[in-house]
Amino acid sequence: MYRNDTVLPFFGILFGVALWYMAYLDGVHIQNLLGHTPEELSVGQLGLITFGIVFFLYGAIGYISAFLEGSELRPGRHEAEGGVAPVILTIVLTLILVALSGVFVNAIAYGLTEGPVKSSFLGQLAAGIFLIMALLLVIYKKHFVDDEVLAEDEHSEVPW
Amino acid sequence: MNQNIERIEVFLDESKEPLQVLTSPPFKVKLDTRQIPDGPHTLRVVTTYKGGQVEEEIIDFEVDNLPSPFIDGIDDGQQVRGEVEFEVVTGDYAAPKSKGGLSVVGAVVSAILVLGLVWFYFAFSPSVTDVVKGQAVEAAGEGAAAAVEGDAAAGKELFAAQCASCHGANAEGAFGPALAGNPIVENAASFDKIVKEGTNAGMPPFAQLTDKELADLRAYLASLGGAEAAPAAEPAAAAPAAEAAATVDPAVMSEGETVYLTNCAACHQPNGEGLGTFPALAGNANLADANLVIDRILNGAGTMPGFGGQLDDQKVAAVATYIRNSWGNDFGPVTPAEVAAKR
Repeated sequence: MYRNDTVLPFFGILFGVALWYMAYLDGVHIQNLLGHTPEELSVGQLGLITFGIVFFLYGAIGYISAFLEGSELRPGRHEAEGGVAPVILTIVLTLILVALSGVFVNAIAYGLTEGPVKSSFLGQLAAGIFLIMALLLVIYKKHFVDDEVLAEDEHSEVPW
Repeated sequence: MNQNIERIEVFLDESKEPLQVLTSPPFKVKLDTRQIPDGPHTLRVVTTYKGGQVEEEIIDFEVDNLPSPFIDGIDDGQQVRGEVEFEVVTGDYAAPKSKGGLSVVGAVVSAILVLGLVWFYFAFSPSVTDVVKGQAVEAAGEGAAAAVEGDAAAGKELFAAQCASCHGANAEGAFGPALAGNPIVENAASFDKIVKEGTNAGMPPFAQLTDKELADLRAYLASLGGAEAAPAAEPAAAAPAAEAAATVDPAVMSEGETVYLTNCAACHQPNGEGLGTFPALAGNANLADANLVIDRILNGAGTMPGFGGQLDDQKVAAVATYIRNSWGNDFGPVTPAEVAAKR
């Protein structure tokens, strides 16, 4: 039986956080050796952060799957629950999404006419926009999309 | 279909006359219920076969073409007295169904309207633009800087306090490049940007300098012209009161302060708070190690240049004593003998 365990995702996120912390400790060590904080990340830090992100994403995907489909897929039709709360949440998130995209355009326009805007600010806006879009998709799938799980013979005709 | 059927007669209620007689398929009966009164009725279907056999089927049904009235204002069994007013509400089965809610077009239009308004507010509202302005990169005002008239004398003092420790007392270049006669001085915008934002080559940002001070610096550097070197400037400004430890000689502290403001304050700041990548000296626990302090001053570390060649033992000891006993630090004095031992 197919399982959406939360065991692997848990360790994925744990390893991700641990790698991230190692990158931080690496930075502290470099700072101690140099006597000051360098402006750029070291190669080691970049590698640790990259693998940290990979593990973290792996864990996040696992948790989202478990949330959307349950820990175990059971054959049959699964109708979406719907409900008022997800509708309200969707409306609120949509308004925030539209507001953020408005601010983003405002910042771009300001950058074009007045002067440069901090790239970290634009980055945070974009991250917020993408996170809310992902959240909307999760809510839509969870509450408004029907599912059907088909059981297949153990010795099915699929060669693999 | 059964070929043995001779005829089918349909009777309504107790009528002797058939409502309809069917002899050939399809045996379809059409009954207009509006022609018969509301209430229970019976349909009797008599099928006669060719052999003479007869079968009878009876169906009970109810006709309800006229909706019953509903009485609003008085209930069954209710006690009433005085004048009573009530309404008889009647329905109409034939009335067309009213469409409730929004049409698809209406929903789309109102969604676009509401979301569009929110979007427009956040995209073009001046109050949101103010928030964005708070996130703008603070660039050197080029036009404004060029407009300010520089004062070479003030620039000289400023240079001695902020720049001389790296660029040399007379801008002849030391750890930092020579500025006397350097063409960068002629380019106000680039000069201001470099000074305010620093460089990757190790120069810290001096964002605290005003446009007037930058103009003063440029005026002073332009006056040098790269040929003659001006005499060394006196250390700037009255120093902040140092909190000397009891065992520290105030004269040594005073001398150390002079050395510090001339050589160290540009990076570590006059208040010892540090700046950007340059570490703070105030409250820095590393200063407890006198040997480390002497070593750093003599030989430098990372982007910090060594001052062993410029400062004699007395001055190194003085400045080490000063930084170890100022801004809340209390690590005791350093003697010239200790410095000499580390050379």
